Amino acid sequence: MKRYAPLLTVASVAALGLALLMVNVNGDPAPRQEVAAAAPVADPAPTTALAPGPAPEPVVEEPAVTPPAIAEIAYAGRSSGNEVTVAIAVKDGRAVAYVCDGKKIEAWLDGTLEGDQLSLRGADGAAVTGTVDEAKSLGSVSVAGKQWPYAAKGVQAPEGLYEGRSGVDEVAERIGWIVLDGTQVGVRNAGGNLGPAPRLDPEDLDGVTVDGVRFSVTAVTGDDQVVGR
Amino acid sequence: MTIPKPEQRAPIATPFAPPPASSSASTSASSSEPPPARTGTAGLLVAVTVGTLVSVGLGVYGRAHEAAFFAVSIAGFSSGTAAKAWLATGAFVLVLVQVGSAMVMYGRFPGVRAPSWIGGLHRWSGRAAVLLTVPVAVHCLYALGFQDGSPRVLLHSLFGCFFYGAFVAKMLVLNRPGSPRWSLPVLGGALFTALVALWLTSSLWFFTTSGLTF
Repeated sequence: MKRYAPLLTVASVAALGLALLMVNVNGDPAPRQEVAAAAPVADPAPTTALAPGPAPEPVVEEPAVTPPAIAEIAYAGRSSGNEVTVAIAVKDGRAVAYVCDGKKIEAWLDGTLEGDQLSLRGADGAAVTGTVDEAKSLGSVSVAGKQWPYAAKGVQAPEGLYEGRSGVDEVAERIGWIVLDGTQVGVRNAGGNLGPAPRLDPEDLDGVTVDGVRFSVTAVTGDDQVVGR
Repeated sequence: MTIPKPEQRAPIATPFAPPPASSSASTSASSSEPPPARTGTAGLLVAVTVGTLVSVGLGVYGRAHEAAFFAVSIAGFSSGTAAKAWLATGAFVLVLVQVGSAMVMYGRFPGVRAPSWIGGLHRWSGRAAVLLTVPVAVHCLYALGFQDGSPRVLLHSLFGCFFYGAFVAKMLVLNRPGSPRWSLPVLGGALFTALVALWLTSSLWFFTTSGLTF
């Protein structure tokens, strides 16, 4: 028994590591699974054809998911009293959003677009619900314990939502920018400390450096993963 | 990071003069379950090979897997990073205990006789140390991955992968009492070096940039 103690130590370390990894992976919103779930909706025939022959009947009908009204689009706008700025990106039924006030409030959200109904959630009760069409998205946004109606219009680059991450540093820094009507609003989150974001040049996303830290900045699309749970 | 208990240590210390004969000598001195003589270097080779595979595997995972940038954080700390920094600091303190107790066991402090509990202290502090590092490493690998953006980050990534390989190799060597007598101190020293380097490139860096935050 004693002789195998070192192996037990290795096994415990491996078990703890794998368990924590599983917790992380399962806590992940897992865009891959959502995409996989969305695919059969678009084209159900191959799925049925691939289903194993012997047991076709126990296949439970998936809850009817309305196909998204719009495949890919981005919206940006503001709450009714200009309290917060809202940006929403949609792609293939998945939606992500960023809400911020440019100073101390921000939230990253993700969810779905079913038909023309948007439904997104984020940490600490943040939520965006609304409707979309080709030109605009109207609805309500909840963040930091408050709720406002919002109106956002369909936008094209360089307007839209941008995310910067400094993944190379153990101090996780993240910046969200919303570019709209020639202005921009953003919040920088440096390991939990929130503050106004530095200015972003949406035409030049390469080599963004903030306080000597390199950020990789991308224009966010609806299938990006922005929320960790 | 455990060291064999005293009755296993004794045979390692005895075959001092002829290093090549160490495996047979320790085999004969081993009271119970004599391992085959060839386990000496072969066992070490196996251990180092497995350890290398672990290191490379971790590095490949950290590189190939897209950094999620999120991970479940630990309650009670202001941020996941602070939690990591303090867990790693705990491991760092324990690894100092590791080196101290190992030096006592190997008689490196003149006049200090190894007390009977030193082996237990070494084993359990080692287990605690490596377990403390696991949440940190999982967060690093899952949320950040293997990165090379700056020398500090590259060093940290390399040592992080190396650490677990060396750990596995050392555990496997411990499991083979016939291994060359230098193998344990070398692997233990490698572990100590790696952990100190990891601590310097992460926790100390964090404390100097963000202050001593919890």
